[in-house]
Order: sequence, then structure tokens, then C-alpha cells
Amino acid sequence: MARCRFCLLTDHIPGVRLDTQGVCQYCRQGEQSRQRDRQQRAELKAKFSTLARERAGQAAYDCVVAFSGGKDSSYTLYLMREVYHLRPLAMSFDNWFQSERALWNVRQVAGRLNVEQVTVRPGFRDFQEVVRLCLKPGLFPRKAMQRASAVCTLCLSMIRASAFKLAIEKRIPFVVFGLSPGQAPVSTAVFKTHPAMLEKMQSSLQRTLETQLSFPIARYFLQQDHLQQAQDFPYSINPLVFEEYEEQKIFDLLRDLGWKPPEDTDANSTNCLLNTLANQIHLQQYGFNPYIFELSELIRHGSLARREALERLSSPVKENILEKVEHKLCNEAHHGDYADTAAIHF
Amino acid sequence: MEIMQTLRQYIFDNILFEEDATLQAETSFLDSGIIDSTGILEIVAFIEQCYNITIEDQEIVPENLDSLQAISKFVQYKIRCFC
Repeated sequence: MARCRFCLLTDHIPGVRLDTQGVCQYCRQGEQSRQRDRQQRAELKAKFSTLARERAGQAAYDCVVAFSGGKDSSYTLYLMREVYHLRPLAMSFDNWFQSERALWNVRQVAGRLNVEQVTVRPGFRDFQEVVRLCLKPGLFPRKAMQRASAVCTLCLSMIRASAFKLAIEKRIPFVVFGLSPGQAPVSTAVFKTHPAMLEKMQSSLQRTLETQLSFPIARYFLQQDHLQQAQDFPYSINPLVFEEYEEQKIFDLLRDLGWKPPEDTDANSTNCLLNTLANQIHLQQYGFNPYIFELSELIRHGSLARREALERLSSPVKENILEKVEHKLCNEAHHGDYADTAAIHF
Repeated sequence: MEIMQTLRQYIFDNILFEEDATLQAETSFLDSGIIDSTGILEIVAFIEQCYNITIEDQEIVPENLDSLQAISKFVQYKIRCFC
């Protein structure tokens, strides 16, 4: 197995090709391509700034921010509030496996920024079943498995749907996500999904899931009335694609907001304990860590040093977290400990 | 035909990572589960760059982008109209 000289990608990953000098095709794209990307990012920032000015103030809130209390979404919430001067509604998705510290950070950061925050929490047994299903191979396209583990992919789909539901119901023009520049392609930075496309994508995913789950997962996604009522469908925004993204600066800024790094998550997450298990399973099934593409892109982007990224990739698994998560996933009798509710709590 | 061949090769190299004889011109990417929404946006970016065309958000609909045949027709239309 050979590793690219510049990023972390290895030649045993499907689709990765190293040339005779040991450089992968993504790093080989050259300065011209990077220059085009920089120009595109500047154009996207200008586009969002214009849209934000045009659309702000037309509803009770200007944007829904998907807010986990992790580093990137906390920074995103700060950007919307303090840099773009929008009125965000922060939406947190508590998947029952959030770090206690992340839940604390949700309150801390939202409080400090004076932002209203709501929590969407799926039914415990529903989500438990979803996660178990995601641990089996072959649920998603192979390309999707380069971006994230199956658990993260499905959890993100549910978060995305919950955020869009909220935006449509409250006529909020933007749904904002804190995906890092390594997670989100440039083309997704400022994008207005057509309801027809969303409907097709949802129905395709639901068909795959429905036959394998004991409950109707459709209720966690957009309903027909969301798709039909949305005359002016919300924009999907990934601002970290076009904003400055330097990890140390972000940590410094968040520290000023009282944000504290969790100690119980793995090296690649600042909010979710499931990540540890999901990464392990992904590694077993596909032969690579699902963060390898994101970390490699952050190296190319100049946001992360290669040595640090390599350390993060090879950091040891926290066995105690793994055990805790596996226990919670296997435990069928949580009736006394968990309220099985899927309501939005205001 | 040339557009379809270029697209097919792009999909094999960058999305499926192997040749797939079952991928027919009319196979729905989303129904067959071989490409997800972000994959479709990556194809859009490739098309824009490869054929020097701009695809608007409202044009990103299944009729235009959910199969090799649909994309091929759509790209031909865009080239005819705007190039």
C-alpha cells in the first residue's frame, strides 16, 4: 500500500490513482485548478452575501442552522449571527449518542450568541434500529462511502430533512450546515435543491430502508405537503466551503464563546460518540477510515498540516467509548431511562 | 453518443470505480442506488467544466440528470442553446 506524498490517500482505496512520482490525482490537479477553486469560493461568498441581504427580515428567522454543538457547527452559528448578522434558529439533532459535553456546548454557544435553539430527537428504538442497519455493508453507493460512514450518511440525511422541514414550515429562506471544506464539494456551497429532485432522492432512500426497518422511516423525512407547499424552497448553504477555515483560529474563537472541547469523542469528532464505532466498522468493511478523504482535502485546502492529519487518522480507538456505544446499541430494555419521543421541543 | 461515452467513463472512473455492464443508458441513478445526491452534484460540476456550460439550480431535476441518456440529451440541449 502506497500513500500519496502530499495528502493521506492510499492506492488501495478504490478510485485513487498514484502517478509514478507517488502523487494522487486529486493533489495532481495543479495550481490552475486550485486558483479556479479559490475564485469560485470568492464568487460563492459574494452570492450568499447578496442573497442574505435580499432575504433577511422576511420571516421570523433568517436561517435554520443545523447545530450539534461540535466545532464546525458552533463556528457556523457564530458566522451567521455575528458576521452575516442574520437571525438564526439553531436546530440540534440529539441522536442519543451525543457527547455530554456537546450537549453542554449547545446551551453554552446558543446562550452566548443569544440564539433560539430547538432540539429534534428521534425515537430511541427507531434510531437504534437505524444504526444497526447502517452497520451492515452495501446500504449506500460506494462513492457516498468515500465521504462518510454509513451511520453518518443516514444520520445526516435525517438531520437535513429535519432542518428543511423546520425551514419550510416557518418560511425560513436558508438551511445552513457546518460541513467542513473537506466534507462538502464546492458545488454544494450555495445551492437551491429542486423539490422534484429532493422527492426522488428521498423516495429512493426510503425504498431501500423501508424493507429492512420495522417502523415507517418516512415520517423522519419531508412529507408531500412540505414538497408541495414550498413555492420558494429554502437554499442549502455550506458556508465553511467559502469562509476562512483554519482550525486553530476556530478553536480560539470558540474558546472566547465558552465552548469546551469534549474529551469522550474520537479525534475526528467534537460531538458524536457513535463516530468511533462507525469508523471502526467502515474500516473493516471498506479498508479505509471514512475521514481520510476529508483530512486529505483539508491538507490541500491548507487548513491542516499533513503530520497532524496523519496523527488524527491513526489515533488509537477509545475502547471505553466503543464499549459504551455497543452496550447502548444492544440494550433492548431502556424503557425506564429514555423517553421515546420524536417531538420538536420548543 | 460521444457525450454519453464521456459521461459513462467519468462515472466508471470516479463514482463506481469499475466498469459496470449493467449501467444502461436509461438506468435511473437514484432508483438503482448507484449514485446519491452529492454524486449527482459532482456530475454537474464535471459537465459544467467539461462542456463549458452553466447549469442553473432549477435545472438540477431528475428529468435532466437521473440517467446517462437524460444527461446526454440535456447537455446537447445546453450546447445548442448557449454555445
